Amino acid sequence: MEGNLAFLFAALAIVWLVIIGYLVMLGSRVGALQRELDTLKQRDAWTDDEADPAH
Amino acid sequence: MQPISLPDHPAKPVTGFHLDPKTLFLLGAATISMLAALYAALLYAPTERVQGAVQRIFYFHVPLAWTSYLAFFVVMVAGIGYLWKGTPFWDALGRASAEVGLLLTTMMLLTGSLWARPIWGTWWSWDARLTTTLLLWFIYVGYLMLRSSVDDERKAARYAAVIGIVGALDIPIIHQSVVWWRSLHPESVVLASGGPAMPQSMQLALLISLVAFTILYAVLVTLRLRIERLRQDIRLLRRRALERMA
Amino acid sequence: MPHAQGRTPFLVTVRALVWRDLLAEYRSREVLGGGTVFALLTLVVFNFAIDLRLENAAEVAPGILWIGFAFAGMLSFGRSFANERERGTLDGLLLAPIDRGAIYLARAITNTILMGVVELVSLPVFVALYNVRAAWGELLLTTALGTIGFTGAGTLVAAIAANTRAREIMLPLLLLPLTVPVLIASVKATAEALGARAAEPLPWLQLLAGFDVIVVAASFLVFEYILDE
Repeated sequence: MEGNLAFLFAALAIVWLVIIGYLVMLGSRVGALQRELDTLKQRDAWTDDEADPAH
Repeated sequence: MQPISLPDHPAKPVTGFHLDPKTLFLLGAATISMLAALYAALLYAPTERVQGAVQRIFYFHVPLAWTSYLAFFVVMVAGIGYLWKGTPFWDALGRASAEVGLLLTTMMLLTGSLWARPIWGTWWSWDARLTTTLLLWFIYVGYLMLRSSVDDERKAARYAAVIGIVGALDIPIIHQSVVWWRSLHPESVVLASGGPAMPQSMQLALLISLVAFTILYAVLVTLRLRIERLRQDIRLLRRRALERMA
Repeated sequence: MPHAQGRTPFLVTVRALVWRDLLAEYRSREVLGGGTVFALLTLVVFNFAIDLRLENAAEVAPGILWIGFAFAGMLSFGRSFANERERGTLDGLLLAPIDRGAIYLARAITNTILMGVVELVSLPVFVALYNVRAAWGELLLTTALGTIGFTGAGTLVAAIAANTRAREIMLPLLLLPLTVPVLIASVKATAEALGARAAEPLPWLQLLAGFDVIVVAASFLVFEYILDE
């Protein structure tokens, strides 16, 4: 029965590693996209000032 | 051109990601509840007499199963929502829930396998629950591959919605047909915790775990949805910039 | 096709479409020829893959038969939609004031008929090659019902897969999990038709019929969402 602990450990490891790994991946993706969006918005605002004032 | 409504956020410079309060709250709740579930599963719950410590996988395996099916139910709802309303939100919800669901289903199958091996002696059993979940896994994969293999966005969304709805409705039928198929092969000892009368402490541990995984599911989908939303906004801005140049 | 003031009667439309598709197939004979050869080939090749003894033949052989039918079927559904796209005839069809459901039904019927021909040729070969004893009435009925179910879903999924990049992969990938109930019931019912005695016999033929109703109804209802507006 003690040998079975390896299975318990493996199951736990998989579950937690996958969850944390996915969370980290999502988090970094959100961050990267948010940065990209911010950059685009700054550029957008910049060209807004430069271009058509009636916009 | 219609004014684009972009999410309101503080004008922060480049670093860090800004999560809205709701998401942060969910994240906190998920962390706390998952830790509580871990404690409950490993320490609080009593060791099962027959199966020993390995039985504790149960406290992860069952909630993973529950959330896998919940996720696909949401995929179906998202499909109905998209076919009915047509807004990108429903499409994004379907995709997010499918991705998270695939992850959960994979883990459910893996933990099921790791539990089955020491208890039954085999890595796999064609019992109705595992078999149906395996087919659910394939339906998830088909759903996600379908999305990426259609070029037209709106077509992809529509096809995915249809498959999501049809797939979800099919799941109970698949389950039943597998149950009938297996009527010749008596079910091996049902993977439970020691019979119909589960001691209260085990019930509590299971409940905590169920709640924890459900919150986790909600967090993952919310984050994934956020990514879709950001992508959409970026696309809009890019298109607008292109139009201005033209 | 009759040019009516409003919409042409449903069944008339269906019949006309089926006739048109069958004629097109008759001219090319692509699906029939290819499908039949493929089904027969599967039966032969599986003989090497599986160790078949006399005692278990009636239980194991139906599985092989239905794998053969399933793959031959998927080849043929895929081809027929691909042909339509190449010929550009689907667009013309959509412009006409035809009930979307009629398009589905006609396609499904055509596919079923074509599959049926392939199966009619394959069944005697199967019975001979695998040395099983068949209750022919039951066997034919089972095959017909199984085909209706598989084709019913297959028509819907093929229409989706036809518009994807990797359509040869998408069709089986989407269709096979969804049609597991039909396949299970078909195999079991075929086993009964071949004389396999089950410990607890379930009314597989009735179950198969039930699955068919659900599959065809669902596909029929959902089909319009697949087509472009």
